[in-house]
Amino acid sequence: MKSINHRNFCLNKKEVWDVRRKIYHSQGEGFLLFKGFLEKKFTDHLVNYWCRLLDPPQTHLLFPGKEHAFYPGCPCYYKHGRTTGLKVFYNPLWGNQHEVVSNEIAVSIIHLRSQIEGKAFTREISPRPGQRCVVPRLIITRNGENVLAPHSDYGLDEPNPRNIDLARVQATLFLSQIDKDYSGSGFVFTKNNGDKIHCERELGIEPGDLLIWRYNNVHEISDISSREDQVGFVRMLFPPEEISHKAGSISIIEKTKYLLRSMKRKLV
Amino acid sequence: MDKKKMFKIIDLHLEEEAGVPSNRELMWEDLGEWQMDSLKKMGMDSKHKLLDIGCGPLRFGTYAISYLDEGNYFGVEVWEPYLKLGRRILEEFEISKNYTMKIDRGFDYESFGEKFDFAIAQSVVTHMSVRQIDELLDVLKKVMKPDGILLFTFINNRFPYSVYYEMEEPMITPCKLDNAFFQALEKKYQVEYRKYPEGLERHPTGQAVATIKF
Repeated sequence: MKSINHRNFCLNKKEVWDVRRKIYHSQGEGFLLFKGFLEKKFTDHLVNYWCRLLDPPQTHLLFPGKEHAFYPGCPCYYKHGRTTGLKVFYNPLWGNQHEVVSNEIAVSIIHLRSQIEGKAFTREISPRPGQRCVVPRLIITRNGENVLAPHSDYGLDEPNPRNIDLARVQATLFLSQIDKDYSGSGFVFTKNNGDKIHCERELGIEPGDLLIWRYNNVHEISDISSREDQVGFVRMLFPPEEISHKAGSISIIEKTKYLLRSMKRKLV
Repeated sequence: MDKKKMFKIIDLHLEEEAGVPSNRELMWEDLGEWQMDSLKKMGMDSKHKLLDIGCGPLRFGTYAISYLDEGNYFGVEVWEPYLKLGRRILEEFEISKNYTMKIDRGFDYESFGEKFDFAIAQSVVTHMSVRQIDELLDVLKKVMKPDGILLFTFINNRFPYSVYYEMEEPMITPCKLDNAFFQALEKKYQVEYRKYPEGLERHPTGQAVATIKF
């Protein structure tokens, strides 16, 4: 396969099927690593911006919780765990005007993923209430145990059958290096054959590498630790989030207007 | 369907470069059983000849080929990888009866040299333009036996929207498939249209169901 990176992310037909077999086939690994997806100057840029320079309250609102957080035109959010040092930035493409490099990189990864999933790229990059839209997320984990409990997404065990989608894949863009910037389990993924893999160490992952993995396989982060002088486990993820009608903060008058409009549409 | 079988079907799709995991596998039994049950309720028996329009990788074929007498199943499909995949799926289901399937993009159903008692178009009209629906009826008029029945599903969209099938095939779904539309076709082709025929179960995906009697 030719080198795939954030400037050159279109797969030809043969490459698409090679990748799909590696990810979805029962004999495949369930993941694929794109080494050197980002050049060093880009990983340096992202780490510098998000980990060192940004003062979140100036650009982001405090994350209000998943329900109704994301709607057309919603702002960027951040979450900050004071004791663990966890920082999460939710950066909708339309809200993140202050760090366009992250947007450009996110778009290249969302496009690469859509080719693998066989779904139209534009389907999940603009927010439509009632549907899903990708909200790129940058996460800095410094210390913690059971950081991400073992779970799967979009699998056959989803309580709501609407959420079952066996074609979904997730992408992790690694921006820091295990045993240099942080230690601990790192990202642990269960392969299609049921074996677990400690991705960073076993695959020799470096900052700028992109891991695409089957979303409905079990994945976890059991523990991470970092010293004061280390940046922590820094990565970008691209979850498709449910988009609401801004109902969380909508006023009663607006809600009534919305209901009346819906009723009118139905009647007409 | 048990998980093992479902994942085997997913593997076959990947090996034949036919598709990624999708609703096809998840709804395999729901749709197949609904199709079989509906056609039987419409009067299909094993001696009848069936045309399966948009037969895919023989999902419904696994039910219909088993049920019908040898050679009475005819499938047409536009997506080429399904031809070989269909053969492998039948092998997986240990079905060895004769059947006919071909790739067809131009409604060339007369080339089978057969007259059909029943035809089924499951989630096919949903991907056709209004002109193609007209063409479909034109050719079915020629290949269906008198009193032959087409069972089909559709969605009455308010506006056309497009589908990018497997990021390979651009398709446009039709709109305004209301009673007036089908009544016009009924008149043009001298057929009998019936929406939601009595006795049929609701379609598993909630699509509208109708029949045309020739």
